[in-house]
Amino acid sequence: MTEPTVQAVNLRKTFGDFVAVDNITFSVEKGEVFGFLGPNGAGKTTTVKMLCGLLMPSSGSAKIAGFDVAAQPDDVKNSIGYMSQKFSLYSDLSVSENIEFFANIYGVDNTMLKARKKDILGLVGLEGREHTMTSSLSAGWKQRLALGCSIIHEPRILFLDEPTAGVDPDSRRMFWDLIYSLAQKGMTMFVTTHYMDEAENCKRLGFIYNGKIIASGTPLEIKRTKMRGTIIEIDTDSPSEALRLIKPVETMKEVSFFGRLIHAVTDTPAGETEQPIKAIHGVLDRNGIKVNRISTIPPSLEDIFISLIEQEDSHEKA
Amino acid sequence: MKKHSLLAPIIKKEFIQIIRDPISLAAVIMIPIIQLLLFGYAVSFDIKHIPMGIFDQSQTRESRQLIRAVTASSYFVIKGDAHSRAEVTDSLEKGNIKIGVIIPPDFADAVNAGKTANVQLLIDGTDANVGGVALGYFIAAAQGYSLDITKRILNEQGASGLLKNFPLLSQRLRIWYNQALRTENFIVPGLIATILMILGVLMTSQSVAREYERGTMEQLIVSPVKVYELIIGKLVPYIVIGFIQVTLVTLIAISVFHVPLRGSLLLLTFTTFLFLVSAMGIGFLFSAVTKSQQVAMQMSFVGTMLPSLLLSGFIYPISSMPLALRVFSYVVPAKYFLVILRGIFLKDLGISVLLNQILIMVLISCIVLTLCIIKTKKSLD
Amino acid sequence: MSRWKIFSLRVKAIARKEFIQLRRDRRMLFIAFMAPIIQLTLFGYAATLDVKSVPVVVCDMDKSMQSRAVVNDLTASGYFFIQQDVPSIADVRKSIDDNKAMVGIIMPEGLERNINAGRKAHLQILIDGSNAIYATMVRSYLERIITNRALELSNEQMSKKGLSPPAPLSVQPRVWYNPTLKSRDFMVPGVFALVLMIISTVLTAMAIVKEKERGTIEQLIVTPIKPVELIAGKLLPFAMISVIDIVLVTLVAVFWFKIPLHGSFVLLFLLAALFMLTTLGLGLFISTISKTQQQAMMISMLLIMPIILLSGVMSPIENMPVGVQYFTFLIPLRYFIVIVRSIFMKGAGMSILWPDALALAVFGIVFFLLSAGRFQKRIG
Ligand SMILES: Nc1ncnc2c1ncn2[C@@H]1O[C@H](COP(=O)(O)OP(=O)(O)OP(=O)(O)O)[C@@H](O)[C@H]1O
Ligand SMILES: [Mg+2]
Repeated sequence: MTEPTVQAVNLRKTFGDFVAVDNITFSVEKGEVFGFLGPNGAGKTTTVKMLCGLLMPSSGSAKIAGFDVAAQPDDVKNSIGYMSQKFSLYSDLSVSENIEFFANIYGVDNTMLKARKKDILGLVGLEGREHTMTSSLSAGWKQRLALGCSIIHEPRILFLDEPTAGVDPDSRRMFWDLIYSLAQKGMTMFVTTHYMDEAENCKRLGFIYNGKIIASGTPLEIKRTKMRGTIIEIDTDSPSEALRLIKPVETMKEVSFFGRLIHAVTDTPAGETEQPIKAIHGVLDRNGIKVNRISTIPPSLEDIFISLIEQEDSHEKA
Repeated sequence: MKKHSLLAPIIKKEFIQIIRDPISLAAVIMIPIIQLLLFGYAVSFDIKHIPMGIFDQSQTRESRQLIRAVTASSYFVIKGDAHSRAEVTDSLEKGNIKIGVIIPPDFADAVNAGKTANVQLLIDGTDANVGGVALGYFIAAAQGYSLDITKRILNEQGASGLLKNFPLLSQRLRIWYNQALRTENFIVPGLIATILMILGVLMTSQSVAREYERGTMEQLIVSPVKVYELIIGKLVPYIVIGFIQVTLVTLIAISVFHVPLRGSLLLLTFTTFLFLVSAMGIGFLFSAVTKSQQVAMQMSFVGTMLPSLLLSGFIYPISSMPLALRVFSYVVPAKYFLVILRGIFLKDLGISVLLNQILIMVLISCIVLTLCIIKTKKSLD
Repeated sequence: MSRWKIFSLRVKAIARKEFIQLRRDRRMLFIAFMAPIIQLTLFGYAATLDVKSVPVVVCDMDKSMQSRAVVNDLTASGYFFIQQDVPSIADVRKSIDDNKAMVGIIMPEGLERNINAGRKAHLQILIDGSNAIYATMVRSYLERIITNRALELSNEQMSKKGLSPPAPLSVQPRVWYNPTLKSRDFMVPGVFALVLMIISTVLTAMAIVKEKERGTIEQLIVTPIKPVELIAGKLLPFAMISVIDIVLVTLVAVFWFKIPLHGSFVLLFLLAALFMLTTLGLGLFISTISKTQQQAMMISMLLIMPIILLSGVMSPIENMPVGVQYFTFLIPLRYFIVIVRSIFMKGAGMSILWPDALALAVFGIVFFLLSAGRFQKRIG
């Protein structure tokens, strides 16, 4: 099947005068792990809610598994699972009662229920806690239960809105292992997150800021296309002195500390950095500063997003 | 650093939350007004124009005189003449009439012979009030008729000496405080007391229980706010709303329904304040105990709405209730406030006459507030 | 899986969840069953306008046989009791001001002397009119007793003068349906209807709004559940609670208050179920306009109170202005009150009740469907 499982076209949502999501267009392929990235208030939750039929788009359209969100909400709901950012299971039901409840709602009848429940409990690692009251679970365990309840019916597409917020590293790993294994089975994963390391793990990314998608593609594509210039990493014994000296060097766009190290961004493309490296080396040597190491490094996503946001903000001001 | 009170921020926060929920606020303001208008314009407890069916087998001057005596007042309206007993019972069964009168064929003869004339009454007793009142009115009319007959006989027998002083015993009846027995005059004080109690308890209990449910109470408790500041801060905004309600109801009562306000406005304000403190305090207490909006609400319904409606003496006289309820009514704050309100609105009573009620309300407020403090402190542990 | 099977699976799931939540919240369960009983008991005992033991303050300045005869008449009637005997008129006033007595009777000096001499004697009666309804009734009882005394005195005097006094008119009342004219027999069936209405409306509204407030409704909306399934599942438990309440309240009315149930319980039960369609619908409607439990509660109050006042349960509809009377036809509770009272007190059957039952059915179903439709639009 070549048709994408999630396709949004000019999707827009306004609350009064405020534009929360601004004409975004993107698509997600079947079986891929799509990371939806953006700072607080960027419009991630709003987008997810529109895709799940919780919010009516102000304009634009979206198709989920080939069904139109506005015109065929029932078919859409049969194809998706949703785990909301805010915990929204019944806290006065036990773990097992919550699972049974949602299983029944999704039409899993009682003959299959037991097996399915066991699967789910195993999948999210909640065995032995079946009878715990949900209200007394810790945040991480609540998230696991929420994940479990959202995949009970083996949806074709799973929307996870910040599934790992407030979750310890161990559980985070479990979450991501589960996300991959579900994707492997052909389930499309739509995950919003703040974590850059998680973003690196996604097959493709959409980066949303102020309601607009300002970058999308595989992490590699984004790094290749969105980073203007190259990062040179310098390790010296007296970084503050070095920083002062490097700043005026020709072609330097931005020079900043990166821990004990210095990151200097030049205008020149990645393949042509001998000239600037030589220049930096020269000025430091002349001033008697010992250079332990100097080399170009690949940009991290964080580097890119920070620079993208800065570009966007300066754009806005202009 | 000088420690300043944290009261103001709590009150401010509470007001902001109240204003952010215009639906509830509008409801709280509308409820007393709608109630008042309904009581004033739609609902009437006066029993008048009771539909009556008559089967007059006598068809004489005497029987018609009786009918006239009965219908002279506006208490009964005749719904057609019946031609058989069955017709009367049929209408009664169908509910077309509430009272049926059957005058015997020998009515005139008996009256003229000074013998007992039997008039049969059939009364629909389903609504005991209407039935009882209808019976009472009819008997009074019959008494009037008897007096007329006696007078006629005295006249015929030429006993003018007796006639002059007839009847020997007369009553000068005066209704105090509410001469015309207007229902509005009695509804308004009762409405103020019950509405304030019900809404006061509901509003505060919901607002406090919500903080417990959402976990914001925890946040307040870990802050350096003193428990009493917390309680006062929670109560003040609702007391203000309570005053708005009282003011609106009083203004409408006076201007639209012409209810008198004979007593001191100052005393009214002071006692209303006292009452509000006890009502809101009870609301606070309910939610500190239950920590759940739903339970606090149901408790408010059962624990305050009914007692203040039923056991305050608003509509139903406490003196006719069984002993257990009369005893229980002593802890219903609305009972005391009602006496005060009626005293101020209708009777122009001063503080000296109402002192007992005021002291009891002070006592109730103190007990309730103390319990609030104890209960909230306990929930800290 | 068939459409029907999924439907029943989902409805059962919602209903079961609701039951589990209710069971966990014992206080709620307690309230659902105890509140109606407490309400009925309170109303049954307290909501009485029967003129009974009215406190009277007497100022007898004559202290004669005649004055005592008047007092005797009052106490013998059973309607009044002498709370206080005071020496002066000022004390009478104080007694009434202090709320100790509702009626004051002042017998002036020379009462007996006047009567014996054949001169007119005057009694003075004061009534506290603050409670206009009750005062009206008290007045009529008082007047009746005193007039009787006056007639008796006149007759005595006529006999003394050798005249033959006329026999008084004899009124032979036969009170149907409620021979002792106890207001309880009338109130309790009315409260039966009120309790049912309040409990089912408020519980329903709250149960739905609670899910909104806690955000759990979101997780439900993304599932393929149909609004009608959600409504059915949500209403089922509250309908069942209401049904149990019907039985409980009937038991209390019949066995505790000894209110005779003249008609058929089955008919009462069926029509009550029909009535509940409207109250559950009202609960649904309230849940669509409110976002929080507080709002739901306030809106419930705002709507329920006028409904009660205009339903005829507190005061006869015939007494209302004509325009208002027409308006009451829109209130389903109105029909149900008639039905409950007729079944309890008159033993009425469908042959008499069909117009009210029909009106109830029409309004109930229309209102329920409108609310359900509105609810569906809101969450769909
Ligand atoms: N119902 C609403 N009414 C008004 N504004 C809203 C509403 N819901 C969201 N917003 C606004 O829309 C913007 C986008 O919100 P959204 O929740 O989608 O952000 P987000 O990317 O999910 O942020 P976070 O990472 O904090 O979850 C925010 O500025 C938010 O304040
Ligand atoms: Mg979000």
